[in-house]
Amino acid sequence: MSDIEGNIQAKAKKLLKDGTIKYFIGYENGSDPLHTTPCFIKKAEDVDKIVWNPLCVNNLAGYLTHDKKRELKKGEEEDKKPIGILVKGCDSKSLVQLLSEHRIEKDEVIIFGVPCDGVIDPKKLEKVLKDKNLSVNTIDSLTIQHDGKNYTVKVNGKKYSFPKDKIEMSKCSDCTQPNPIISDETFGEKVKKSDKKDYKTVEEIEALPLAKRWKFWSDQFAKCIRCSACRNVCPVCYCKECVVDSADLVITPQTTSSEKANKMPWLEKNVDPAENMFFHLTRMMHMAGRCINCGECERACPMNIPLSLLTKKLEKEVKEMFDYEAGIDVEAKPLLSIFEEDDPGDFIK
Amino acid sequence: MSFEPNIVAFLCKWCSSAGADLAGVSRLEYKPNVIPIQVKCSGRVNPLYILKALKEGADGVLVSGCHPGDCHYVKGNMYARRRFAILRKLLEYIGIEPERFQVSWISASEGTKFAQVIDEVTESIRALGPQKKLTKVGFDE
Amino acid sequence: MTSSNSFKAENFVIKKEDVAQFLKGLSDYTIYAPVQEEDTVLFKVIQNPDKIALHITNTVKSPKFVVLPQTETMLKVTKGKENSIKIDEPVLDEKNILFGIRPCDARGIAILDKVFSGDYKDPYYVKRRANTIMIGLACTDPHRNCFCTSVGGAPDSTDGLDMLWTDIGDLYFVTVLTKKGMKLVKETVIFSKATSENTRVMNKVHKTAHEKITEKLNADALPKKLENLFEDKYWDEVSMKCLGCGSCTYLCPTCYCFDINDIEYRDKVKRVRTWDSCQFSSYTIHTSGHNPRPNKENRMRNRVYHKYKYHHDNYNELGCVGCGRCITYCPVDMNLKATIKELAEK
Ligand code: SF4
Ligand code: SF4
Ligand code: SF4
Ligand code: SF4
Ligand code: FES
Repeated sequence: MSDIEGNIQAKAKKLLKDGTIKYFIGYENGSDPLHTTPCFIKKAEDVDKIVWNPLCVNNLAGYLTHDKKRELKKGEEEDKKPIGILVKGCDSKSLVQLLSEHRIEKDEVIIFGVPCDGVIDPKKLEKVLKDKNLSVNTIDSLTIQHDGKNYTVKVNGKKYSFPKDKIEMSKCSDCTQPNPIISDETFGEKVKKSDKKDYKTVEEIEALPLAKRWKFWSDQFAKCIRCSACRNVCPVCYCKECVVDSADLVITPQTTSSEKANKMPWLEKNVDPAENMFFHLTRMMHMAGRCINCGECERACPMNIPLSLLTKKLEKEVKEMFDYEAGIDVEAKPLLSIFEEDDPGDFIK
Repeated sequence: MSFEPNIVAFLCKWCSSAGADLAGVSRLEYKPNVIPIQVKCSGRVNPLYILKALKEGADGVLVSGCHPGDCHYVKGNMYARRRFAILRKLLEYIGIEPERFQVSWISASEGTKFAQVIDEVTESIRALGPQKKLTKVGFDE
Repeated sequence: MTSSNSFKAENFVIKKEDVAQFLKGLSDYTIYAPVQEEDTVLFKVIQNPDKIALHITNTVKSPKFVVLPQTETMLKVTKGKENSIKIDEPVLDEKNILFGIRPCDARGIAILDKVFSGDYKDPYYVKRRANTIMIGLACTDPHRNCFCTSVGGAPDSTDGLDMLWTDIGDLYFVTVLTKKGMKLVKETVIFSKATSENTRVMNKVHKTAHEKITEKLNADALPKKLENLFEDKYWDEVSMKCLGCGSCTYLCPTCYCFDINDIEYRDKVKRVRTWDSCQFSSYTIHTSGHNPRPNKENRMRNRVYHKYKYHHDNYNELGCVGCGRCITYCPVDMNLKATIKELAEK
């Protein structure tokens, strides 16, 4: 157990014991040694479940909004105590975004910040281990340590070394915010990652001729099964009712005509190129100036659709056109609720 | 038979729609390919409307509002400009011809400009041919 | 719809190098087989048998979509002359082969058979299913999340299959299980009778695969246990991390919930049936706006109850085949195996 892990546990224990927080959201060991999984610790005696290591990939910030959507049971009283939560650098950006949009307020959360030197992509890890003839099926123990440019992975007692870029989440390689932007307590030393965002993958697509770009994206979205994992995993996607859920068109005698007009089925449930494209374009429009490129949507997608190529494009354009970056300033106004006189307008006749 | 594009135009009530009226009463001739939909303000045009129009088979979409500074609601068009700039970038990025979605500022006194813009938009979309990429599938004969 | 006839299984072998030729000979059929594209293995229509990827235990998406497509057009309505309307129904006479389907997925389809061609016969399903031949491939390297043996299956289960193939080195051992399967074998001279040595190797391969699945869950206890756990606090705890996406149910070989919508386009309408998921917040929402399953704990409970109680109440077998997909692909690593264990111990 690392010092950081121990300190997080101790602090969580203290806050749970003295009743400061209603629960703590962190990570625990997952279904296999390659995964950790989000955990919700309600009792002080359970804190030793909490782990902190490079497999702590998930962005937990979105869970803060789950409570707000939950319908209370009969007789259940709302627990108004704050929630304790563990955030890495990137995760803290989504937290800042949620705070700036007043989806959560600062006094509703106690933030445990961990400077982060990169996290592992379990899919990549599985692949490099396979190349070494290590199947997930036979891995009983696995620990990972940072080691300069490499990771040392100890599998079933034996050590292997892998270069960072081979197994790290791709979002980590050009991370400019590895240290939590906001936190009540920071665990561990500050780290330095990258100075500059890298948009090479986006530029490669931009450079393709139009027809090729269409081919690329239509092939990708043909794979989409519209499971909504990308939407639901997103920490800043929190609406109780989503515009793409056409089934939410509930009409009662009280429904006014304007409500009906606003509740038209924008998206049909059939899964085909047109509807899928509509889904993704709509999602992206709703993410403009809000997406913090945590990479969760791409990670969650079971069909391996490279959604980061969309979210990074969005981030790049928002930066270039409006000099705006999501998730860095709690006081910032939402991108689409402000404007500048000299915003780009050369496309307008 | 040459291809006649279907174009949906969201026109703000106070400027562009009035501009269209002026083009009409001035008996200006312009292409009949546009289906005008009056909205209160260009700032009221949700990007969903544009995508939905394309999904319903529009070959192109035009949104037109007041010139900067002239919006009846002071700055609706300024907010709209941001949204449209992003939508255009996204559409281009996924491989949709940028001409499929166009924007213009047309004032109530610009009947001539209205006729001109409609002609230009129509011709640029005609040149692209029918829009199939974002149109609902499975309805072709 | 599995062969209730008294077909007596017969054993053959085929050389691995002859498989491509066998498949090429089946030109009357649309052949679906696992294909790897980048990192994703999926059942796809194959033109070129060399593209088939049988090295992966299971595909991301279960092949149920061949008999229960995610989007099925039930009918199309178009305007004819003078206010008349024209209604087109799909023909559905395509003949399909599912090649390399794993025993759990075939059992999944056998489960769907009971749902869609039991008391109520769903014409779309029944037709597609009758036109589908399933050639199974026994698992030799079960994935860590596989638990078929705990839910009545096996890496060499034959439920629902027309043939079961087993990799025995240079050959596939071919057990023909139905007349439909026999017809394919009879059409070519590529298959030869299995020898007793072949059978010995095949049995050994099956045994080794069984041994690789070390964990046995007490899943059979659940239908009874769940009778008293509906209001249990457990659901609140276990569902906390669930996102309410549809990955688990959309990838699952036995989930079959659907929704029917009419889609308009100009003067045409089509009625489509699409998959639906009990994990979506909109799943049970009523016209009144009331939602009897408002929270994720209600929805996750439904998923487990359906598989482990309701389906059992109706069909006397579990509604899960233990393929493990809902564990492997859940973005928050929800562990159904752990859930089964925890519930069984309650
Ligand atoms: S997670 Fe992937 S498959 Fe699911 S809706 Fe999003 S893009 Fe589509
Ligand atoms: S990267 Fe994806 S999951 Fe993360 S904030 Fe952006 S849209 Fe949401
Ligand atoms: S269990 Fe996992 S895959 Fe299923 S709905 Fe919840 S988060 Fe999505
Ligand atoms: S519930 Fe999970 S393990 Fe069971 S059949 Fe469905 S996906 Fe497979
Ligand atoms: S009223 Fe014309 S753009 Fe706002």
